Amino acid sequence: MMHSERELPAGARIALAVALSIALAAAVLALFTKDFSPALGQFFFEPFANRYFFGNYIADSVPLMIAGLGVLIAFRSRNFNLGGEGQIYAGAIAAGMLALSLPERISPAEAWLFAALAGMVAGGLIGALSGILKALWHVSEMISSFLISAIVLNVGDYLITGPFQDPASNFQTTRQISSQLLLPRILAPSKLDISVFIGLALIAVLAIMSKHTRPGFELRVCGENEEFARYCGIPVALYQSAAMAISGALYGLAGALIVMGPQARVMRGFSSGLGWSAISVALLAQSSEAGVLPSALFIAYLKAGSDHVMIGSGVPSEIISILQAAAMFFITARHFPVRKRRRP
Amino acid sequence: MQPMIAVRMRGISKRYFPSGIRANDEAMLEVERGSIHAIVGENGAGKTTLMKILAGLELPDAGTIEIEGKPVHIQSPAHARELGIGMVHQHFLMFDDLTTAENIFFGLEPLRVSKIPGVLGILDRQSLVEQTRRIAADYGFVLDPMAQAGDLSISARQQVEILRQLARNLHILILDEPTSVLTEQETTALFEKLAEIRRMGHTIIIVTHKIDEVMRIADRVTVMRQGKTIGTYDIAATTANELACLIMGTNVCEEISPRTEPAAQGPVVFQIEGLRARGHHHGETGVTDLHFAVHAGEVLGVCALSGNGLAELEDALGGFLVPSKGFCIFDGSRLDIRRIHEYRQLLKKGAIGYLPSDRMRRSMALSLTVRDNFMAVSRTRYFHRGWFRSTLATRQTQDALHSFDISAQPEQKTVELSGGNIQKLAIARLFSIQLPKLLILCEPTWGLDIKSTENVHRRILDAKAAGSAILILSSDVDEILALADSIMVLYRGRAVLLASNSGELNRERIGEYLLGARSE
Repeated sequence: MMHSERELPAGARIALAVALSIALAAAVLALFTKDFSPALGQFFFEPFANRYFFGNYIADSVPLMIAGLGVLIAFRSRNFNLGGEGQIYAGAIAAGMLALSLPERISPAEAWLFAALAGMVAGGLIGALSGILKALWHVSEMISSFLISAIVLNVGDYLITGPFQDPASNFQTTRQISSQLLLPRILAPSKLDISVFIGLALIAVLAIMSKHTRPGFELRVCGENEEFARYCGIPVALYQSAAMAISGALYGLAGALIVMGPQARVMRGFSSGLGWSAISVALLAQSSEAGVLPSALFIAYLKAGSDHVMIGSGVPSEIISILQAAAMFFITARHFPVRKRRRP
Repeated sequence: MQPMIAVRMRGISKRYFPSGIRANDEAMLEVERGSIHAIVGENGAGKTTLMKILAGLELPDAGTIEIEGKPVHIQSPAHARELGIGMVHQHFLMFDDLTTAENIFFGLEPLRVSKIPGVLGILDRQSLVEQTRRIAADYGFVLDPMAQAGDLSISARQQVEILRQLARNLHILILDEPTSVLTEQETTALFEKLAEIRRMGHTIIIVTHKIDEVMRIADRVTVMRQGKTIGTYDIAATTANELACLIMGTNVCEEISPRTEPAAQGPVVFQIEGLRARGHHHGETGVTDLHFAVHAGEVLGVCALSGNGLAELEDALGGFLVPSKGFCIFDGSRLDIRRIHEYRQLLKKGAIGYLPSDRMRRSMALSLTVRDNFMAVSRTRYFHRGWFRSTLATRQTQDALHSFDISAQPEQKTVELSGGNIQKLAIARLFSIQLPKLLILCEPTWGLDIKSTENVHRRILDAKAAGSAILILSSDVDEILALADSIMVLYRGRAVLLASNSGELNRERIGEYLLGARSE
């Protein structure tokens, strides 16, 4: 019928999606674990149980914050960057290769800066390519970013397992980056490092730019209505390409920071799935930069909880994947059926 | 004997979410069978909502409806059709790729019994065409049953819509703003057909805001204001002036302000030479070989029916279409108009002010707030070294809302505003910055009510008195006649008339040019 569905206010919709995801997680645990209550504890409380678990949980949320911001910037200009997987990989490989070839005497701060820049440039160029293709020839950025990403992933695999393969390792990985060049750890013994501050700072800076500066305003106008933006004399093609480039750069940065932090090397396929999780973060954030922080924490929490159950209660990883997919499904649903209002 | 009441609506209330606006507030309506009943009111008075409820497109929050004396709960458009109610919308709904006949009898096509077992039946084209001819002749319509609907003129499309309702034996016809797209001649022809349909016993409800048409065609009229029914009157017992007062809710009701005396014309501000632009749609002519000039303190009105180049002219002058040929002379400097980037600079700098005809897409981003839309065009003023001055923007938006009498808040989402208020916001934005040397105003008052139209006309005349050159592109002949010092009419992309608006030009005369029946 005509009015049986009504769009809920954004806040209620998000709260409902989060609640449903959590309820579903509990239901999955009840179904697939022999012992329900310890599994429940592992899922919901173990991520906070000690410094090690908590630090790892937060460390996993950092790339989601940065990559989530990347997706969000693209959203702002009405572009869908589906090339995150490849852009993260490219950023990671660029950062890794640079860090491995840096001279011995370089200071750690310089190494971090160069590696981060290398990651951003690599990801940014790939993102910009999709933006330019769209501006020039109306190539759908969704399709081009996805396909370019598929190429980049394969080229990346070749580089890691070919010319850059660590001959001393049995794994498909590059050599290890010298440990004094890595980002300093905080909250040891967990893998959390200072990149969390970079993530928080980026969220703050972009949130302020979006609300209080002219480029932020113009980007928003471009995203809401291209024709109107043109009417206002805003260079739409420039903003769209720039947004895709920044989006790619943030993805690349996320990859670079993983390599310069917890990974200390570039392993084949290490970032698999991160690009997609970043999309859920951005969707959950409801096009608000500040919203990226709780969203990234929530998505990382689902993952941390699932990992603990997987190890602690032996739930197969496929079940966990289903749970994460279902959570994504709830988040992307714009309409929830609402009881039809009774006619007088 | 009392005349039979075809439609009786009582205490109809309807509130829209999430804005909470009451579109209808205990509205009432009684329509006698076999009459032409007009519903008049300003923008947002609730006319269209009331009719959508009657046609089953909206469900009321409260109220009762009786059709031919029987209480009903109209659940859907299909249900309304079962009750004999049909609505012809302002924007026609039809299949452009089907023929006239197929559009009229869509869903009711005559079928031949198929000889192949298991196959239900095949379309009987012959009888489809005959039926179309018959129904058109019954009501005095002239239509080619085999013509493709997409090729029909606006008025022919409207006739197809009306016949589609009649073919379904719908005896209560609702027409939403039926004349807004018609010329004078077409309007007269439509009214003759409506009178014929009434004579055959059907009931017709017309939603409009044109009082003169109500006086010409309707038997009775219901006035609505702010969602409420003010009253229902016999046309014979009321006057146009009385109706205008009732609609506006004031005691003093002026007629639309007459044109000011042609101001002392200044120098040429804007001149177009040999403009040629391709049509938007395949097979359309666009504009060809246009020449015109606008002086300071002069209003040039350009008029055309849809599909005759007005849209292309707007896009070319608004910087949205790269013309294939032509020069523009602005303020003494000559510019090849194909160099669109240079031309756009004039718009961007504010030397040319442009009001688009398409409010929903081009002149507003509906998902942004009123303030964001207001400040977007002249946004540089609201950023100090790139930093947003939000108090200034909010204050100036508030001032503009106030001075243009727009009931909205700066922080409100623009999509919640009525169409009339959105247009007023666009006009407020144009007039709240320094007056441009040239104003290009496209359909400036389309869909605005009397009071707002008058307000806009006054602003235009003020701008003219202040020395702006003004170009009005409009399909509303009355508006052009009321405001313009010179009139240009386009037919198939060419100027068939370019003359000063002296007493010799009137609606009928311009109508002939619009239809291509006359040319200079």
